[in-house]
Amino acid sequence: MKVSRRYKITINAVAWLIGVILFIPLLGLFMVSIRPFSEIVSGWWNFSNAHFILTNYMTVWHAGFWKNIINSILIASVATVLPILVAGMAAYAFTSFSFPIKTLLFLMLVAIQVVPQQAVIVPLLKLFRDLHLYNQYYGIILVHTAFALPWTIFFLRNFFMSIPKDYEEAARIDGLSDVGIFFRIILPIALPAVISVAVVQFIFVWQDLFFALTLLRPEKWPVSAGVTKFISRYNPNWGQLSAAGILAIIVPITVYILLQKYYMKGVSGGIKG
Amino acid sequence: MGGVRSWTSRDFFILMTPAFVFLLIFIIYPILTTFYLGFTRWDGFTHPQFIGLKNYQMMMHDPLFWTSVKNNMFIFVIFLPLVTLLGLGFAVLLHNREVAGRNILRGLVMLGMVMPLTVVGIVWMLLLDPNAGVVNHLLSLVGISPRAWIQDPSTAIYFVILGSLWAWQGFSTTVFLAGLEGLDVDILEASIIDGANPWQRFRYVILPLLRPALVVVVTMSSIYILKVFDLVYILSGGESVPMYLSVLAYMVYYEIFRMFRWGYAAAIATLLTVAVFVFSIGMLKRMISERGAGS
Repeated sequence: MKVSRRYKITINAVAWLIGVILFIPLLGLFMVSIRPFSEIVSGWWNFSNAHFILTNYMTVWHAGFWKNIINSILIASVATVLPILVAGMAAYAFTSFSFPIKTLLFLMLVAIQVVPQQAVIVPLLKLFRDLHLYNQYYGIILVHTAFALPWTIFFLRNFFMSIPKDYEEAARIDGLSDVGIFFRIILPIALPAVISVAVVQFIFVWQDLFFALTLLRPEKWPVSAGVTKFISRYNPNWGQLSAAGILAIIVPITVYILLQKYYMKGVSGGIKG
Repeated sequence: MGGVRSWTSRDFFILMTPAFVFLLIFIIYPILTTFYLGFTRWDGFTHPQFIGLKNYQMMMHDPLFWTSVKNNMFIFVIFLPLVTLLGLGFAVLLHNREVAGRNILRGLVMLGMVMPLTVVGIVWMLLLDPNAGVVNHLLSLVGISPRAWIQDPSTAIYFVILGSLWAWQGFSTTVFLAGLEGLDVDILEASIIDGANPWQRFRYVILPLLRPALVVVVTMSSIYILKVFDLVYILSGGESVPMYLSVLAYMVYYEIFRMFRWGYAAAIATLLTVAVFVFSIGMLKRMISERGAGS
């Protein structure tokens, strides 16, 4: 199909205009974080007589924000690896075994996918107190793991079903057990699907606010909750606030940029919200 | 493949047990308990006391509850059509081969989706600020005087809607893009040969084929916005959110941590959960029939 020059220019202009509009908010956040307060209030887009400073980052860092970053990295990493192992095993059991109540379990998994965090929080707080899980890293990690399982099992099961049966048969003849086959054969073949799940889950846990607020005390808060300490409704210190914001997104944005393709597959293939 | 091995082996249980222990302890047991606790009076420490439907009756007379429901509905009806149309529009645009640098644009569309919503909130607080905000600056260029959008009770809710849109349009764009990429090229070519113009092609060929993607976008976006919490929470600045801004998910938090009415919080959480399921039924049914429970 032949395309006119004018059509081509118009559609590119529209697309890039939208791209710029979507990007400006983030550019603003960054500019505010590196300019003195006096220049922020007259508009960060005003570049006459601009000064660039790092004091906001230093202040935020020394106010203990580095701890929030460590907390986030710790919680999000473990809460990514653990569900992949647990869900992978269950997904493999789903694909290669037949068992009673399989349909029922499957329906249950599908339904659980949409359960809101608020639906479990009241009993969970009691449970956390009784089991001494409250304000423990592993407590929130276990909950994030449980919430990741339904969609992760689903996603991995769909991928496992596309793996030819021959691999399994060959491994079985070589004397591997089912558990062995899963770890030594299936998991490596499924690496692309595993990476997709990992990226989506890592970013999701990084973003979580509700469980962080309710299951941890401020000293163990991840960045999602940590940035709220800098928020003030009427008298915002924009410099510190935006520096904290930038520090809070460096890791997930880097992960996203490096693994963009996998992230897209994970988002459109599973249903994660 | 699949479904061939017998479940009576030890390996089956090794593979299956961890997942179901997790689900049982942290999701299934708590959710059932929440339903029960909704019928009790409980401060979180003493014994829950069964009071029948009292919590639900209390809701009917609670102004905070009605404000929350009203806010949830208002946010919902504005957010849902906008996020769907924006996603569809962006997807069509980014799918177009004539657009240069599509990968960079796709990256930009997703930026809001990969950061914590609290940071999205900071971004929009900054944008809407009366002094330091771009929005007011641009509006002043066309003669509209600056406003304190977030501090003004009559406009603060738009902050929640705009932030949610900026964060979530990346999801609908991605799902529609995946849908467009999966379209059958033969059908599109046939429609061109049959003389359909671009609009007819979009309306009568592409749109019906995008139905599955549409179901996912509408359902997931509905659930997403029903659960809206983070953007409301950060308006509190450490204190309680002003009452006119409350939503159901925030109210659950508020009743637990500010009012210590855990039974009442459980009742509200139950209601929210039911609402989420009502909006998900269509999609869940489709997932079951498409991906199949058998095999």
